[in-house]
Amino acid sequence: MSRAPSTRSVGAPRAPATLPVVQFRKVSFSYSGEPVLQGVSFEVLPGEFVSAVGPNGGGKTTLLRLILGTARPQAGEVRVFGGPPERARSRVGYVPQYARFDPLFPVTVLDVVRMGRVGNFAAGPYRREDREAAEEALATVGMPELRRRPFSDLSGGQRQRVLIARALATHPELLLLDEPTASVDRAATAKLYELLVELARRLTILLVSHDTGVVSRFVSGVLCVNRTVAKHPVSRLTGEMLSELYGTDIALVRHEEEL
Amino acid sequence: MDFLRDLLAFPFLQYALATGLLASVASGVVGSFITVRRIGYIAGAIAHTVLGGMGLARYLQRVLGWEFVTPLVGAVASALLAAIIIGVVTLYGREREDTVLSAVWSIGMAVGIFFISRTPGYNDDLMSYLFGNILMVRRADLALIAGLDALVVVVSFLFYYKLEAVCFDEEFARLRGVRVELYYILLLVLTALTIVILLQVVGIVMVIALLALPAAAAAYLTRRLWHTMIVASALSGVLMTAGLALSYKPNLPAGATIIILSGAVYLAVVGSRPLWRRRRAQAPRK
Repeated sequence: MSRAPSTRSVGAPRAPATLPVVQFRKVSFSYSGEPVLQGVSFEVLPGEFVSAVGPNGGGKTTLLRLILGTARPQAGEVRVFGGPPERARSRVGYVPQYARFDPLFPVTVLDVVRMGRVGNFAAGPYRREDREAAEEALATVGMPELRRRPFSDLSGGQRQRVLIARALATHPELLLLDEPTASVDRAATAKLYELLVELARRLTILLVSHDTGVVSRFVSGVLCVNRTVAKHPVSRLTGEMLSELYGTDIALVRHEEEL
Repeated sequence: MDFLRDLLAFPFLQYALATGLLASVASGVVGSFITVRRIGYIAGAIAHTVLGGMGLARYLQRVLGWEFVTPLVGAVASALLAAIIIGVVTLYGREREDTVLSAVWSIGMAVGIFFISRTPGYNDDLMSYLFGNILMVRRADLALIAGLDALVVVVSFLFYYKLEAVCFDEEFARLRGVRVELYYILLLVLTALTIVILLQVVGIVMVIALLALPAAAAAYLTRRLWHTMIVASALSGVLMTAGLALSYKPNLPAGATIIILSGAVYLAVVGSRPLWRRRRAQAPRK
């Protein structure tokens, strides 16, 4: 398997001076002695739409945590927008999996989206600009008419869109999504990717997915994560790479089926 | 009817009702946070620890003559101490959470029993601390209770949106720059103060029911957290008044009557939940 040089940009050619949004330099991370990532180097450039794929336990979630600054590498360096990840958090919109949330929590769609603005004031109520940012984000994901519905009444795909809206309400430059299509049905998955492709025109997007086949139709680059990280432009992503990554050819079959 | 007539005639009944209604407001607001954040067991541990503070305060009052250290003052101090210890240990400690809670809970009670046994005089105290005696609330207590109540409600409203976000998704709130550890401790402190208020009504052992049951019932009936709070407070107020009125004439224990009523209302709401569900499911869906 030939790996693409890990520091080259994928997709549209860009000026070499462009500051990477995410930059990993020889990053290693181990969890209680067990190495999760080893000597990982790659970059994500502004405007890229990248998917991180790989087997469970391969380090995809760790990758997200390192970018968010909720985990620190034991060796190497992670930089987000040219600085330490903790200081870039206000420019990063994070979208977790909807299944994590308590279905009994009494909260409406608009309440959830507004929480994207919760770090923007010291105390008291949301300000007018916060409410407007929330309404605008809800319109972007195409569900303004559902604003008063209880969050837990929505379908999985709808809830995932609400969480995307919550991240958009922060006005991020980088959108990070953790398995956005997990437990979402096929039709809703297609609509979610439609939305992400639309957002990718103005944002840098990095998503974690096990769904290699579907993802490769939409993204400009793929990060293959399994203790190491290899970055491939989509045009060069072959079934051989995927089967090496997963150790089976299931991914290849799905890949061709989706195309 | 005797209750209404005597309510007009006797200040002690008026104080009792006022205490119950004040307690309803704080417990509806804070109980809703506790319910959605699922930390009822932590509230239970704080409540039981308070016996230590009340016992110590009684000892200092009777044996050393420190008149100003009333059991209520001891309750406030020990509830706050327990809240901060539990908060810091569960956030930063590497210990098992249930072990820490069991330790704080039982050591607090043991300290209380220890000091009460060393305090000369009638020991009716122990029973009224454990099971409450709302008819014993004095005017001076009422002032302190009202002050605590106002403090709890004002702070809750001031930080409502922060607490809501931290309860709903702690990780996301942290990424937005919210100091979630601080708000978690704040929530435990509010819980501690609310427990002290509720202690006057139902005592240490049954406090947790008043924090949990009206809020849990209200959460089934509402779609937003602040609606839950309003319904829970109103429900508590009705339960307190009804419990007090029903227990007065037959001379039943008021606290226990209120708890049994609360349990009945909670069961009724949970039992009718399939009906609520069906209604929700029929609501238009796009």
